[in-house]
Amino acid sequence: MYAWVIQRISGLYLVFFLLTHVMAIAQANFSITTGSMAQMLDVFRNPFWAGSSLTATFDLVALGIIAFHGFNGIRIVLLDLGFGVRKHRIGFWVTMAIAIATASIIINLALPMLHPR
Amino acid sequence: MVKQTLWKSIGLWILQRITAVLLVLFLGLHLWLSNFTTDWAAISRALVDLSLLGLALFHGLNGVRTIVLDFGLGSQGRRYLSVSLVMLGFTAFLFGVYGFLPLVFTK
Repeated sequence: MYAWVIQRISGLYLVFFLLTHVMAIAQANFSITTGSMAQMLDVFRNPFWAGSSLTATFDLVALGIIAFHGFNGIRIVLLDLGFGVRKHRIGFWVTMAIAIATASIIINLALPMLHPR
Repeated sequence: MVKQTLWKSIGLWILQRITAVLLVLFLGLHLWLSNFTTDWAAISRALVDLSLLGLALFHGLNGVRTIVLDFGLGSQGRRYLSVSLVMLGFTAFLFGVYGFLPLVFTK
Protein backbone atom coordinates (compact mmCIF):
# COMPACT_ATOMS: atom_id res chain seq x y z
CA MET A 1 0.00 0.00 0.00
CA TYR A 2 2.87 2.39 0.75
CA ALA A 3 4.23 1.76 -2.76
CA TRP A 4 0.85 2.91 -4.09
CA VAL A 5 0.90 6.09 -1.96
CA ILE A 6 4.49 6.93 -2.89
CA GLN A 7 3.76 6.23 -6.57
CA ARG A 8 0.96 8.80 -6.51
CA ILE A 9 2.94 11.45 -4.61
CA SER A 10 5.99 11.01 -6.87
CA GLY A 11 3.65 11.17 -9.87
CA LEU A 12 2.30 14.54 -8.74
CA TYR A 13 5.87 15.79 -8.22
CA LEU A 14 6.76 14.65 -11.74
CA VAL A 15 3.79 16.47 -13.33
CA PHE A 16 5.03 19.63 -11.62
CA PHE A 17 8.58 18.84 -12.74
CA LEU A 18 7.48 18.24 -16.35
CA LEU A 19 5.75 21.63 -16.61
CA THR A 20 8.65 23.55 -15.00
CA HIS A 21 11.19 21.58 -17.07
CA VAL A 22 9.45 22.53 -20.32
CA MET A 23 9.43 26.20 -19.28
CA ALA A 24 13.09 26.15 -18.21
CA ILE A 25 14.28 24.44 -21.40
CA ALA A 26 12.14 26.77 -23.53
CA GLN A 27 13.81 29.77 -21.85
CA ALA A 28 17.25 28.27 -22.44
CA ASN A 29 16.39 27.62 -26.10
CA PHE A 30 15.12 31.16 -26.64
CA SER A 31 18.36 32.55 -25.24
CA ILE A 32 20.35 30.62 -27.89
CA THR A 33 19.00 33.02 -30.49
CA THR A 34 20.06 36.08 -28.46
CA GLY A 35 23.50 34.60 -27.75
CA SER A 36 23.22 34.41 -23.97
CA MET A 37 23.10 30.59 -23.80
CA ALA A 38 26.27 30.53 -21.68
CA GLN A 39 24.67 32.85 -19.14
CA MET A 40 21.61 30.60 -19.00
CA LEU A 41 23.75 27.50 -18.45
CA ASP A 42 25.47 29.31 -15.57
CA VAL A 43 22.09 29.76 -13.94
CA PHE A 44 21.35 26.05 -14.45
CA ARG A 45 24.68 25.03 -12.93
CA ASN A 46 24.23 27.20 -9.87
CA PRO A 47 22.75 25.14 -7.07
CA PHE A 48 20.99 26.47 -3.98
CA TRP A 49 20.28 30.15 -3.46
CA ALA A 50 23.68 31.55 -4.41
CA GLY A 51 22.56 32.31 -7.95
CA SER A 52 18.93 32.60 -6.94
CA SER A 53 18.26 29.26 -8.67
CA LEU A 54 17.27 25.87 -7.31
CA THR A 55 16.96 24.39 -10.78
CA ALA A 56 19.97 22.05 -10.77
CA THR A 57 19.16 20.57 -7.36
CA PHE A 58 15.52 20.25 -8.36
CA ASP A 59 16.56 18.38 -11.53
CA LEU A 60 18.85 15.99 -9.63
CA VAL A 61 16.07 15.17 -7.15
CA ALA A 62 13.77 14.63 -10.14
CA LEU A 63 16.20 12.08 -11.63
CA GLY A 64 15.95 9.96 -8.46
CA ILE A 65 12.17 10.28 -8.29
CA ILE A 66 11.86 9.42 -12.01
CA ALA A 67 13.91 6.25 -11.43
CA PHE A 68 11.64 5.24 -8.55
CA HIS A 69 8.38 6.08 -10.37
CA GLY A 70 9.52 4.39 -13.59
CA PHE A 71 10.74 1.12 -12.12
CA ASN A 72 7.81 0.90 -9.71
CA GLY A 73 5.55 1.54 -12.71
CA ILE A 74 7.14 -1.33 -14.65
CA ARG A 75 6.61 -3.51 -11.57
CA ILE A 76 2.91 -2.54 -11.50
CA VAL A 77 2.51 -3.29 -15.23
CA LEU A 78 4.13 -6.71 -14.77
CA LEU A 79 1.92 -7.45 -11.74
CA ASP A 80 -1.17 -6.46 -13.76
CA LEU A 81 -0.08 -8.87 -16.49
CA GLY A 82 0.25 -11.59 -13.84
CA PHE A 83 4.02 -11.87 -13.57
CA GLY A 84 5.49 -12.41 -10.10
CA VAL A 85 2.25 -11.96 -8.18
CA ARG A 86 3.09 -14.78 -5.81
CA LYS A 87 6.49 -13.33 -4.92
CA HIS A 88 5.37 -9.69 -4.96
CA ARG A 89 7.12 -8.83 -1.68
CA ILE A 90 10.60 -9.76 -2.83
CA GLY A 91 9.73 -8.20 -6.20
CA PHE A 92 9.17 -4.83 -4.54
CA TRP A 93 12.60 -4.85 -2.88
CA VAL A 94 14.33 -6.03 -6.07
CA THR A 95 12.63 -3.12 -7.87
CA MET A 96 13.81 -0.69 -5.20
CA ALA A 97 17.39 -2.00 -5.49
CA ILE A 98 17.31 -1.54 -9.29
CA ALA A 99 15.80 1.94 -8.92
CA ILE A 100 18.40 3.06 -6.36
CA ALA A 101 21.26 1.64 -8.45
CA THR A 102 20.02 3.36 -11.63
CA ALA A 103 19.39 6.64 -9.82
CA SER A 104 22.90 6.55 -8.31
CA ILE A 105 24.53 6.00 -11.71
CA ILE A 106 22.52 8.68 -13.49
CA ILE A 107 22.83 11.27 -10.69
CA ASN A 108 26.57 10.55 -10.54
CA LEU A 109 26.80 11.26 -14.28
CA ALA A 110 24.77 14.45 -13.84
CA LEU A 111 26.73 15.80 -10.84
CA PRO A 112 29.10 17.98 -12.95
CA MET A 113 26.00 20.13 -13.51
CA LEU A 114 26.47 21.40 -9.94
CA HIS A 115 30.04 22.59 -10.46
CA PRO A 116 30.79 25.88 -12.18
CA ARG A 117 33.16 25.60 -15.13
CA MET B 1 -24.23 6.00 -19.84
CA VAL B 2 -22.64 3.86 -17.16
CA LYS B 3 -21.49 1.36 -19.77
CA GLN B 4 -19.90 4.13 -21.83
CA THR B 5 -18.06 5.51 -18.79
CA LEU B 6 -16.82 2.02 -17.96
CA TRP B 7 -15.35 1.46 -21.43
CA LYS B 8 -13.79 4.92 -21.32
CA SER B 9 -12.16 4.12 -17.98
CA ILE B 10 -10.83 0.77 -19.26
CA GLY B 11 -9.46 2.44 -22.38
CA LEU B 12 -7.72 5.13 -20.33
CA TRP B 13 -6.35 2.48 -17.95
CA ILE B 14 -4.82 0.55 -20.85
CA LEU B 15 -3.46 3.75 -22.44
CA GLN B 16 -1.92 4.67 -19.07
CA ARG B 17 -0.03 1.34 -19.10
CA ILE B 18 1.05 1.66 -22.74
CA THR B 19 2.32 5.22 -22.26
CA ALA B 20 4.11 4.09 -19.08
CA VAL B 21 6.19 1.53 -20.99
CA LEU B 22 6.82 3.96 -23.89
CA LEU B 23 7.85 6.69 -21.43
CA VAL B 24 10.59 4.51 -19.94
CA LEU B 25 12.02 3.86 -23.43
CA PHE B 26 11.75 7.48 -24.60
CA LEU B 27 13.19 8.78 -21.33
CA GLY B 28 16.33 6.69 -21.85
CA LEU B 29 16.63 8.07 -25.40
CA HIS B 30 15.95 11.62 -24.15
CA LEU B 31 18.70 11.48 -21.50
CA TRP B 32 21.13 9.96 -23.99
CA LEU B 33 20.45 12.39 -26.84
CA SER B 34 20.42 15.47 -24.56
CA ASN B 35 23.64 14.75 -22.70
CA PHE B 36 25.88 12.37 -24.65
CA THR B 37 25.54 13.66 -28.18
CA THR B 38 26.72 17.05 -29.43
CA ASP B 39 24.33 17.57 -32.32
CA TRP B 40 21.79 19.71 -30.51
CA ALA B 41 19.58 20.31 -33.51
CA ALA B 42 19.32 16.73 -34.65
CA ILE B 43 15.90 15.96 -36.06
CA SER B 44 15.85 12.71 -34.10
CA ARG B 45 16.16 14.74 -30.92
CA ALA B 46 13.22 16.89 -31.90
CA LEU B 47 11.12 13.82 -32.65
CA VAL B 48 12.08 12.02 -29.43
CA ASP B 49 11.65 15.07 -27.19
CA LEU B 50 8.29 16.11 -28.62
CA SER B 51 6.89 12.55 -28.51
CA LEU B 52 8.17 12.30 -24.96
CA LEU B 53 6.45 15.57 -24.10
CA GLY B 54 3.13 14.36 -25.53
CA LEU B 55 3.33 10.98 -23.83
CA ALA B 56 4.39 12.48 -20.50
CA LEU B 57 1.63 15.10 -20.57
CA PHE B 58 -1.00 12.45 -21.30
CA HIS B 59 0.33 10.06 -18.66
CA GLY B 60 0.82 12.78 -16.04
CA LEU B 61 -2.48 14.58 -16.50
CA ASN B 62 -4.40 11.30 -16.73
CA GLY B 63 -2.67 10.33 -13.47
CA VAL B 64 -3.83 13.60 -11.88
CA ARG B 65 -7.36 12.81 -13.11
CA THR B 66 -7.20 9.33 -11.53
CA ILE B 67 -6.02 10.75 -8.21
CA VAL B 68 -8.73 13.43 -8.14
CA LEU B 69 -11.46 10.93 -9.10
CA ASP B 70 -10.37 8.63 -6.26
CA PHE B 71 -11.44 11.39 -3.87
CA GLY B 72 -14.92 11.23 -5.40
CA LEU B 73 -16.45 13.67 -7.90
CA GLY B 74 -19.90 14.11 -9.46
CA SER B 75 -20.46 13.68 -13.20
CA GLN B 76 -20.52 17.46 -13.73
CA GLY B 77 -17.27 17.91 -11.81
CA ARG B 78 -15.76 15.03 -13.78
CA ARG B 79 -16.53 16.82 -17.04
CA TYR B 80 -15.04 20.13 -15.84
CA LEU B 81 -11.94 18.26 -14.61
CA SER B 82 -11.44 16.43 -17.92
CA VAL B 83 -11.95 19.57 -19.99
CA SER B 84 -9.52 21.64 -17.90
CA LEU B 85 -6.87 18.89 -17.93
CA VAL B 86 -7.14 18.46 -21.72
CA MET B 87 -6.84 22.22 -22.15
CA LEU B 88 -3.82 22.36 -19.86
CA GLY B 89 -2.25 19.46 -21.77
CA PHE B 90 -2.71 21.07 -25.19
CA THR B 91 -1.43 24.43 -23.93
CA ALA B 92 1.67 22.84 -22.39
CA PHE B 93 2.32 20.80 -25.55
CA LEU B 94 2.02 23.83 -27.84
CA PHE B 95 4.30 25.80 -25.51
CA GLY B 96 6.79 22.93 -25.59
CA VAL B 97 6.77 22.88 -29.42
CA TYR B 98 7.16 26.68 -29.44
CA GLY B 99 10.08 26.47 -27.00
CA PHE B 100 11.73 23.73 -29.06
CA LEU B 101 11.64 25.63 -32.37
CA PRO B 102 14.78 27.81 -31.83
CA LEU B 103 16.78 24.62 -31.27
CA VAL B 104 15.72 23.17 -34.61
CA PHE B 105 16.06 26.32 -36.72
CA THR B 106 19.28 27.93 -35.43
CA LYS B 107 21.67 25.62 -37.25
